[in-house]
Amino acid sequence: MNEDKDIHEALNSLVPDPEPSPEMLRKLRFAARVTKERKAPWVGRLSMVAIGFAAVATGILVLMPTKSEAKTLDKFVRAVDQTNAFQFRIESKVAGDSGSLSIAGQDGTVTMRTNDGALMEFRTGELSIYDAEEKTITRMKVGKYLPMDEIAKGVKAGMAEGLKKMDIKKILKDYQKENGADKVQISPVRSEGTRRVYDVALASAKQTDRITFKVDAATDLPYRMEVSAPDGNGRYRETVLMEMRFGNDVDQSALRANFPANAKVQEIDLGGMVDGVIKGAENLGKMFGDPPAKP
Amino acid sequence: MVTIEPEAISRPTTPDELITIHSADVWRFVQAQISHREDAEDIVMETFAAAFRDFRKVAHADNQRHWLLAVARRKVADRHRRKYRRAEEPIAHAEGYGSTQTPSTDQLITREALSRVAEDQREVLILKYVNGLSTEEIGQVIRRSVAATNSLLQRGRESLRAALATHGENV
Repeated sequence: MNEDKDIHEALNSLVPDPEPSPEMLRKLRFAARVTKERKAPWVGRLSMVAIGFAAVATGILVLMPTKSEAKTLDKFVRAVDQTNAFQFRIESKVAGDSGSLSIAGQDGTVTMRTNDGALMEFRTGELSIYDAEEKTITRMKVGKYLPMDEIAKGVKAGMAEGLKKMDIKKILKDYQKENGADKVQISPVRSEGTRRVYDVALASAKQTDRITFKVDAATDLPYRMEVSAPDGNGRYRETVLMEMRFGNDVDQSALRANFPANAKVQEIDLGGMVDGVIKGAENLGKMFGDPPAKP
Repeated sequence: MVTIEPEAISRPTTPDELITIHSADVWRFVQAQISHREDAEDIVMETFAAAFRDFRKVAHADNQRHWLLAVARRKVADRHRRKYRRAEEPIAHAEGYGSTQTPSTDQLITREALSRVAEDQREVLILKYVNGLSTEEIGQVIRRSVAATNSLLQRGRESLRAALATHGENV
């Protein structure tokens, strides 16, 4: 170190104040309080996806027309197993923060879009994600190393199989035992436009949230779910709204991503290894917001 | 002997802790390269604002100090590239701020000499001699191998010594 003493002293002479001033620290602490943390792009969105799937699963549990639980479950299982198209739209309003997510899928292609402009399309062998802030499309080719077709099939089969094995009668019995049979209310069938519908309202002495499903009487499939929570003033406010469509009811325009034509495209070829390094791997860091650095 | 990394002892879990533990490090890194107080403060603010916006990610970063220094490094480089100049007092001149002494001749010579050192060499010199990072740690901040970082350090030292000698003779 001695031979570098001259450099050490010279450079440290440029730092007359080794600590930030109290005023600077005060500004930083103020900024820490007022700076809103960016939503973790995929954690937030995936949590909404989870809400969606949880809602569907919950829907199965609470669709308990005393007349035919098994029939209802069978229909839902068939819908999942046989339909080649689905569409979920989820809106969330929690603590003044709102967001929405739309997921649509058909024949192996899934499109997801959020209210903040993010757009994702997954199709055979390729995943494309559009970042509205950066106006950039990141296109990941998954290639032969990730058998996405098989994964997609596995997820679908697993979901259907899980539903088939679900002991709905036991679940309902447990639910009723825990909450009381009177906590599930099924309305009479009524008309909404040209549709015959009924409501299933779920309440629990142990949970403050209220969940209501609107169900198509013709199929016993839910098409809308509403969750509301107490706002502290004795009123209930809607916190989650989810709309579900299957088969021919799916909006065809929701199935296409339609990325902006002027967006910058960066390619990551997960299937294209060159000397053990993924082609375009440097773009992964940019995509997830790592501090940029020279290669 | 077991060495315990400082990061392992005190790993910030809130933005306030991040400020307490790492603000001096970021401040020194920026101050050594930016002579204008307001500009230096802006860069430190921008660096921490980026951390606050992505705090979840920073909280899980392998090394939060390196994360912050990497962001500060980019912001300093951006500032240099834009050749941003404002008619403000140099940091050492600012009234009521820490050191109120006017910059010494040595300081002026050093800053002028440092400005003649290539950007990547300048960064590694500051990280080593002002922030006290090891060569390996510097490599992690600038994402270079240890060998490449060593090479930059060596060339940086030579360049700075040559520039200091030239300017010393001219003063």
